[in-house]
Amino acid sequence: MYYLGIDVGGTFTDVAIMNDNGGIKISKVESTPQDPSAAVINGIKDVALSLGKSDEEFLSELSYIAHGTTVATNAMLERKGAKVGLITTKGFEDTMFIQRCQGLVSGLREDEIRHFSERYLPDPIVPKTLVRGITERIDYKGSVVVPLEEDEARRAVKDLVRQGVEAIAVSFLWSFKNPEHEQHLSKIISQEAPGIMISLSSYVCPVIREYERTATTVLNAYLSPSVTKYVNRLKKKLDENGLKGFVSVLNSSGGVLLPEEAGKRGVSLIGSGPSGGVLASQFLGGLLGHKNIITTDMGGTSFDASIIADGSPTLANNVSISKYLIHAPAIDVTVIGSGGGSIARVEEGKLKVGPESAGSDPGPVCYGQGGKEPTVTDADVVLGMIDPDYFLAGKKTLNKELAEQAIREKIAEPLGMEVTRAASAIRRVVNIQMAELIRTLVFSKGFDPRDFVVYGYGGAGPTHCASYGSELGVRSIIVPLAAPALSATGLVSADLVHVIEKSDRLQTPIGFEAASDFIDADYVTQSFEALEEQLRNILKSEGVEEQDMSFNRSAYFRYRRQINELSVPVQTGKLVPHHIDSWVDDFETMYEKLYGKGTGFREAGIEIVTFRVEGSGRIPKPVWRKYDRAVGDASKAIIDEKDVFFWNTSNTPTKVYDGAMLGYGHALDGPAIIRQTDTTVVVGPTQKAYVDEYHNVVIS
Amino acid sequence: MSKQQAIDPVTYEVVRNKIHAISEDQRLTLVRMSGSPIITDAFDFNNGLFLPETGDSLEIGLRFTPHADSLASLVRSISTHCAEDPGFEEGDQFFCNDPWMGLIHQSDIAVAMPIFYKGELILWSAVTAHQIDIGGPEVGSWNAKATDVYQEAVPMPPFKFVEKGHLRRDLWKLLMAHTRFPFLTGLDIKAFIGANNIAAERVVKMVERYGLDTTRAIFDEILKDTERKLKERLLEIPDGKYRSRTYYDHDGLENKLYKTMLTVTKKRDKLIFDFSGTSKQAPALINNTEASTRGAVGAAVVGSFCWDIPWTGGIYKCIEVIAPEGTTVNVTFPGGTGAAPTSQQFVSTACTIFALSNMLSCVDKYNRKEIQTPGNHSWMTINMGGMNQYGEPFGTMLSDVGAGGEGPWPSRDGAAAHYLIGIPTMQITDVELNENVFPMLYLYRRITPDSQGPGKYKGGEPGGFAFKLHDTDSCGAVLIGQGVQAPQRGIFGGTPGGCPTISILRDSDVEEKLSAGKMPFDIDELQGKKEVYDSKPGGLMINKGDVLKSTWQTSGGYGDPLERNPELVVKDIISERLSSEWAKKMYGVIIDRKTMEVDVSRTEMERKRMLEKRLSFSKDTPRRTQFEATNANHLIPMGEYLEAIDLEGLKLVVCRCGYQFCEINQNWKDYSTKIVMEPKDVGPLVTAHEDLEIRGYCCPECGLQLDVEVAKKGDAPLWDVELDMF
Repeated sequence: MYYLGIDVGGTFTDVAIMNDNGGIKISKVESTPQDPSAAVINGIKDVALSLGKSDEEFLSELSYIAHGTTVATNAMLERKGAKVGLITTKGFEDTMFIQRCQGLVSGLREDEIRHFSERYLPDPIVPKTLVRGITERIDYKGSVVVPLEEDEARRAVKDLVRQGVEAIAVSFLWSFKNPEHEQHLSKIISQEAPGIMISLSSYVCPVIREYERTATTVLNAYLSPSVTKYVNRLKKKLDENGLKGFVSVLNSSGGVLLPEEAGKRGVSLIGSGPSGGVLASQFLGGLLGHKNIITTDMGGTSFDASIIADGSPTLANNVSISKYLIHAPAIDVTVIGSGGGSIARVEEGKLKVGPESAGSDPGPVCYGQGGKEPTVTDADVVLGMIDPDYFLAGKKTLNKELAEQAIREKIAEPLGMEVTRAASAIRRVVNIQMAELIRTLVFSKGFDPRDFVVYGYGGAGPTHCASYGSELGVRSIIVPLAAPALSATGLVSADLVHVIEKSDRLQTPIGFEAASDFIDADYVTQSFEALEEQLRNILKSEGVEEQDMSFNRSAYFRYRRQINELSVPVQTGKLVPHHIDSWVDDFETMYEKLYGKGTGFREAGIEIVTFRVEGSGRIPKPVWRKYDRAVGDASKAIIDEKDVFFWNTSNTPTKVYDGAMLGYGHALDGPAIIRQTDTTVVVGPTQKAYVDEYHNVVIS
Repeated sequence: MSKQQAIDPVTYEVVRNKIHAISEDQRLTLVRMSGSPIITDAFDFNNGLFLPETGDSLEIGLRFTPHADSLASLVRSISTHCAEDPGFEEGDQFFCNDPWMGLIHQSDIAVAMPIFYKGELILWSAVTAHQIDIGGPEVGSWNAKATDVYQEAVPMPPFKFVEKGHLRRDLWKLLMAHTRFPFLTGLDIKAFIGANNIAAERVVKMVERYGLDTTRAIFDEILKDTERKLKERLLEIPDGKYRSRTYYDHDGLENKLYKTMLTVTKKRDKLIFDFSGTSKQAPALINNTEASTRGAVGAAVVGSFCWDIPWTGGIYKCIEVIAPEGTTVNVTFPGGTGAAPTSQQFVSTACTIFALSNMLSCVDKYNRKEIQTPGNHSWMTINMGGMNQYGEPFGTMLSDVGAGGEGPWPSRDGAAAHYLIGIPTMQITDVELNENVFPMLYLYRRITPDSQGPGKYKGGEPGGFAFKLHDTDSCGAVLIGQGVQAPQRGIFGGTPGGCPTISILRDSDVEEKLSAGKMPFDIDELQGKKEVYDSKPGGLMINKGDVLKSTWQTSGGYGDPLERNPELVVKDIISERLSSEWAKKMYGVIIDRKTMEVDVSRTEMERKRMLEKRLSFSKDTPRRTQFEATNANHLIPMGEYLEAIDLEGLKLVVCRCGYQFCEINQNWKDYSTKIVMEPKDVGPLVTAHEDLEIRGYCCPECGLQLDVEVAKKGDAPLWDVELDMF
């Protein structure tokens, strides 16, 4: 059997295929932004061809396809989501405009927050003219204070439909406590506009805090139609081609969703693209004994970084997306640049690189697709770091002359430099910039980069990571096997994980004796079991057998009147009163461990505010392959030697190695260029590299 | 220099960032552990690390920036008063809430901890945050009727209450006896202790790793770096005197006006902030101590000048503050300070920002770019306390009131409902979180229509809300604001925006309306007895059936309202931010109700009419002889419309239209057309105290509105920019 991971990026669609022995094969095809599913099919065909199988034969041998997509992310960034109408409680129509006062600063770095004159509100996703307040009100107990005014609601729906909305978001106050009004309105919408996408806050995000819940629900309405359109088209194509296994879509928190579910929860796919690479890094780090990893994914149009500390990716519950604060658990991945497509230019006699990007269309000048602005990739080509005849394993030929001409005219001449020197300057500026941004990111989490290793992947990561990695002063720099398609590889390694949360409010009074006198263990059991039942059904529908399912419960505790809570892992099964009491002790122990002895304040009372269950379905999968020690030394892999311009050493004789001929135990000195399938590893003049037992390149 | 050379740049950057990360940990600990929405959402707190003795702050945090100097001066005070007796030892922590010892008012309590490395005092960690209640006659500790500090919460000078890591039970009980809500203040003080512990632990680890000499050298360099960069910026600004004048209303006892007068003398790389001319101190409530005034100046300087300069105590090496004793900016004991931050301190900060914006407007590269207009600086305090819906005691200060309007910018509108002065990351609490723990039901929370500050770019609309009590019969409240009758100016000809408002509709039919399935859009749709308040209603009861309504403050606009793009005006009408009536009055823009687009010809006519009306006042304006200006050289800009030119040795202030007002050593306003505006014509939410007037200063030649002042009747025109170089 085969296991397939597909990661659709802005420029390329990566495919990673693993067989039962853990052997990995990757392929890259050009993305097809108009219809991303076409690239997926192309990638599958490409892999089938390389295995010498027909498409049908290959698809019938596929156990599953796990799939990461930037459909949602792109729709958000390019503001190409659906036309959305928002229906909310009358009197609260401005919630998405007031944004709890966070619209100017949400998601900004501190240095950006300090520059007051350069802070802007986001363009509204739903303009005021498409927001409708409806007479209805539910209070904190979930009791109806004012019933839903049905005629008014129907008029609002009709009016929005007349204005051509493609999706309707509904977010009423306290709907997570009592979803009655939202569900009623949902029926009305279905009657008035059958088939329209409906995003209910009580379904998408049943947690307290109306701004975050509304923003999440609105974004979900904005993004889901694009996701649905995309997954339907993809599934149809795969089914026609004879797929027997199932397809799943990775979400931002590292779990996967079935296509149907993904179409209802578009917002949870926003970080889908980058989270695959982080999962793979975590997995690989486990094999290599790396607990602290800075993952860097440098592709044609983006540069993403994340931090794995003590073996776990850093997570965020509240994520800022285009300055809206949404509640959607996600692996914390930060976009810090625009990758190989970053445009270089001269401003006031100074060389600037990025953040503008040539994207994939027209792309860098060397693509010959009409791009006029020189990019980082053009500089790599001019310097010979990327071989123009061997780009994407020779599938695409790059035009070095065009790249040279653009750099000469736009950079070298204005700066009065030679072309190679100018190209080298572009590389140096972008590498230092990336290093600084990564440094800030690492520091902002309270870490020191010197305690970390860098994993460099994505199409351009291996070409640059030796340079930004050494700027950062990290312990070592790893170019993983399958680096150009690491996210896709991570998808193959992922288990099915779903998380369901539910807000509640169970509390003790001030100065209580035993928490179980006030918090009913049976009620808690039922609450958890209800969530587990939902998860079990989802997993079942994904084909997971009961024995492969596992559930982890946690309860969010806090002292009463606190806003932030601690997640306390709790036991599964039926609960009895002394469980509850012991949780309170666990909470207090955790609290004092975090904040110091004597800081606990039980006298204030405690409360449980959220139940959370994580359900995982184990997927049978192969382990990564370990290779035997290679015979001989690296010199037999040398295929060329040429002068390459490095910033500090100018023209330097540099050996070029064929990556396919390097094996476990081979060591080499920089400067060197290692040509691999779909990427090039650059080792700097003063660096050394060797190949480890998983065929990763380790640079120090 | 030798020290500097000894630090390798990578270690410097690492340690500098570490210090930032430690401050962040300290802050996050506080936020996570505190139960108070004032800390978790409104960010009315500050924290940091300070050098011993001098108290120099290694970082001025992004939270409540007027605390810029609070904790620093607290560290200085403790160093002076407590070093010998009781002395400092490892693990000690000191409590203080005394504004004369460095804090802003009694409600800001602080805990400071000396950090030792191998027996040597190396740094102080300190945290301060506003408390919902710290005692005194009124719930929430703000007593509007106080006649001196003895009728407010007790200011407690610094004392050691954690001894070598042990929290003394007796002193803990003493502290808890000072608050109506020990369960809240208790959580906060524990959070302070926790935050200091975490900071101390990390600092010691850092020093262990990088060495004491190196880290100390880096502390110095961090401060010097700010000082150096700020000095470079100051050298770009022409020397001279920059003035700013602000009024606000009511001291709690009497509705009289208080004036803040600031003259900033800028000479080379030094700034002297002189508050001479500011009103005599009030009996209580609104006064500031000198430390608070230094904090206000610091907040304005980092916010206006340091967008690319690290925010540290290094700024104070370039600053001198003169605050005359016995005034509202330097109160002498026993004058009260109960509501100091949201009264005089916010005003001092706003007043300083105007002076700094005028400075930046005299530099070509900053003019029309970095010009700030302070938006909402009236915190319409709503403190509530009583029994909540669960039958338990509660107390809160609603953070909603922070959602005022942002001031306008040279090329964009101020954001609606997004600004409170001094807190760059201000947040308000979700409605649901408040209803969850307080006995209230919101009728609405929204952006206030017709409240913008008119200008080429507008002061953003403030928010507003209305609520009733829910599942309880009554609770106590203290309402203390500022500016209800003192409209706030804009800049370069923008007219004032909406004033804050607060009112209660007593014994209303709100319950009946809701039961009948109706949700009122405004309290005008309800029956009841309306009580409309001035700035300081003070303590009162809210009962079942009452509806409290409030709207918040915004600033005036940027530039002449008649210069506003009519498309933007129509956009506001369509999104229900502006009525067509006020679109016409504020901007002369008329909308075609059929197409919902600008009625171009009627708009042109209306604007022409408004301009002609202005020019009709200019016949008595004194005029100087106009020269042929073909050989003029641009000297410096002076805001959006004015510039200083050199005309063959003659240095003149000229309008955009070319009109020559006067020589540069004269106040151009004396040669402009002065027009007094009726508040009711400026905006439906603009209300002025009887002693105040709103005055426009226009070009007598082209009619452009160049400046609008809110001044006391009889005040001479303010000479905003008096340059030395000419």
